[in-house]
Amino acid sequence: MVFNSLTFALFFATILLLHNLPLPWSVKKCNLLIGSYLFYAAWNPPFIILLWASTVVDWLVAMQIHRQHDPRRRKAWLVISLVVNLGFLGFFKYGQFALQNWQALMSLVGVHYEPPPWNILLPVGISFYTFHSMSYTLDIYFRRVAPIPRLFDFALFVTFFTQLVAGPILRTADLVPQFMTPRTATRDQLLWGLALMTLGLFEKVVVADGALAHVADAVYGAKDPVGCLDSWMGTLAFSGQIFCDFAGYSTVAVGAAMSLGFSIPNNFNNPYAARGFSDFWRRWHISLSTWLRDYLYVPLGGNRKSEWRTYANLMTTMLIGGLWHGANWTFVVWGGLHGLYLSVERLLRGQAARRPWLARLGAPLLVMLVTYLFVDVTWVFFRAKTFAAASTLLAAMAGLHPAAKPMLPMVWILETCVAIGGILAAQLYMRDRTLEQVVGRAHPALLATVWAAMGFLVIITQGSGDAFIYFQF
Amino acid sequence: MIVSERGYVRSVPAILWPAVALAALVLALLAIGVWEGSMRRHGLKAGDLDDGDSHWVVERRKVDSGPRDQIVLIGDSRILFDSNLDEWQRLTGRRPIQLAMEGTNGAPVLENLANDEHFAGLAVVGMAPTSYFRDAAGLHDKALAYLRDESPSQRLGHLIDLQLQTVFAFLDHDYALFPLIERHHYRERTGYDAGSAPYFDVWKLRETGPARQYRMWSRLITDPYLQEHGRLAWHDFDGKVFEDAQIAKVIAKSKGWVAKIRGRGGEVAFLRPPSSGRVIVNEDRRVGRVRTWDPLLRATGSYGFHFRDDPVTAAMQCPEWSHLTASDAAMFTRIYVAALKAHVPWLEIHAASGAPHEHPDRG
Repeated sequence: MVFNSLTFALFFATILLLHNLPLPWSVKKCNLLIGSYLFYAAWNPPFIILLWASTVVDWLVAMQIHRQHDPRRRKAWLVISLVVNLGFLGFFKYGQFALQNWQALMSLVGVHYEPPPWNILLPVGISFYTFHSMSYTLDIYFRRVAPIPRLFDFALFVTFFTQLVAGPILRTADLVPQFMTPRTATRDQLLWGLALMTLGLFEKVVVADGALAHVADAVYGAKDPVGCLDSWMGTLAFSGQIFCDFAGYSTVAVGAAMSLGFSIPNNFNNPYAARGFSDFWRRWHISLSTWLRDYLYVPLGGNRKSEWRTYANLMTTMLIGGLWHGANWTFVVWGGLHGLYLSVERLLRGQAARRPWLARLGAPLLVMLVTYLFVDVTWVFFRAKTFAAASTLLAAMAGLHPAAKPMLPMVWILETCVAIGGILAAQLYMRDRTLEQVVGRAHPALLATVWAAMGFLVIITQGSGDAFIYFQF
Repeated sequence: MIVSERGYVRSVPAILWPAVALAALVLALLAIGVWEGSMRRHGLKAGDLDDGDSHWVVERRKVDSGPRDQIVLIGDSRILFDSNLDEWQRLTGRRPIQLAMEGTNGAPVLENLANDEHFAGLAVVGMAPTSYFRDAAGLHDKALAYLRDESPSQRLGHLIDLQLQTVFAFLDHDYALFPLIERHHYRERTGYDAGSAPYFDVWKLRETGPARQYRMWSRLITDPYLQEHGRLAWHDFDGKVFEDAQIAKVIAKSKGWVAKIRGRGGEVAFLRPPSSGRVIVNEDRRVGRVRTWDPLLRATGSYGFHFRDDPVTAAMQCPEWSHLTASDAAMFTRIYVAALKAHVPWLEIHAASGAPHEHPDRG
């Protein structure tokens, strides 16, 4: 089920009630586990089997890795875990993509191959829970954590509904210790958690779905080439939509966990106020970028080898990160471009260290705007379904379709400007502050008014319960 | 303060949370109360249900869960607005299942029923001919996929939503925040096709009761501005004349679907509800009766009721040129059901009770 649905409201109220009854901790954990499976099954019940398989395999394999002392055997058990998890992910998410590429490859050598129709649904959130679960076996392999003695606790770690389908991708050390001792939220934690959930729903329902989604859909779904202003509006709208959609989900997840007494780290930290691309990736989808850093970039050698090897590692990590988002070469190009930006930035930083005048060129606000501009243009490859569509839109953004008729109505342009202006202003203000600091210093009357206004706007927007964009990843 | 073993700390801002939360709750409830009052003054009513794919699939499932010889109404918004289910029940003893959808071609649903081995009933296919004779499914093109893919969560959400709509009038997607923002007439850029602006989208036209019983929104009948806007929203059904090949293709497909249903003991009848003003002028120009309706009936061997075949229905006027008022819809239903009873033997055989045959307007 999705957070912005009436079913979730009923589900969460029930979970909250059960969690605050005077029951033994083991019973409360059991409620959370059953509730989490119901949360997942409410989308498509049969796919819960995949979740169970991934859970059981990783728990058993992790035990074996921990018991083995022979490095080869440890590695062999790790390979089993990786094959099972990446096998599920590969089959369900990349199966059709692989077939299409095989077909194209065959046609290049003159062999006509018609693959059978691919009618397999993508299990919601599979990229998240496989990475979530894999991080455990990897942590055991790297001897970063001790194994979880009970399958029950590991199952709750993998399945905990707040972050199950769209992150944050948690680590064992983040969450499992919190299951070991009884937890219920204090009154203040409960209310802060509910306030965070309201903020997250506001981002998703009002800003992402209400103000921006239709603008991006119209521009990216246009049959004819669009003009310069329309293409920029569509791309800006998408930048705001994807941020508010995903950050909104993460904020609801953090709030829901907080309301139950659990601590989940932030997944976003005002990414559009980033100064540079390494700063952007410290602020955007933090749990994925740290996952890729710890389990891919660092094991590849990180920046510990030669300079060229560092660039190669960076590019490899970003290309795989791009592919993680979707089974399409456009996502790979999106990741590759970010890898390129990171490499160029690294090169410039090295130069700036030797030539201080270079560092003085970039005023912070200018660097922020240039970063946002590049991030925005790169979103085109993320949103467009084909390279042809992406290149048509980029050409429009460059002003190469001057004869195109205006396609966006004035009200949609106004909605986009207000929403994007608001997002950028808020992120600029919040760049070096935490939400907790800002709320802690605000006047209570202002807080109550803002909270009430967000809740009211969520209700009168009457969202349609559209799935979060990142569910498909 | 919650601390994980890893050292991660998520703090709670130190403010007077109970006071802030209580004030926020009171303010939000006040705002909702004021909004609800305002929406009721605009003519919205509690119990007027939103209609969409979720509501449609509930009715579609009734076809497969009930007896095989059910009566279903399919098509676009004309048969949806212009059919009164109570009148149907009174006249035939049978309550039809309403499966028509706004802005949506009835042909894919007829195909779906033709391929449903369980269905051996009567399908009454209503049409705005510009809708039925096109290829595109239209506004609710994903309804059939939703029937297959609807999740348990969506099903439950729909049930909760229905309950809330019986209490709150403001829960109406035509009067949600962004449709209201987009309802103002903004000055557009040079070169922009002003007719495509959201201002010219279809606004609220109807009230919906249980089992998808539509009736024209009473304010549309009394408010000249809304009525005029309703007419503008149709863009006069303007467009190119339909090609003969396109019409022939649709007729050939329809013939196959009708034969399938008839082969199982079912029947299909066609219905052409009234339209008025410039809408009917354009319909006659683009998809005239002689090129579409008459050949369709000949090819399928089905009975069809065309509103121009009866002097009473021929004189009916649609306030916004496309749909009848609730009272005219009840009369239209009485007349077309009587005609169906007279000309479709299936209906006489399967009627649950003997209802009068005479023309209701003369009876």
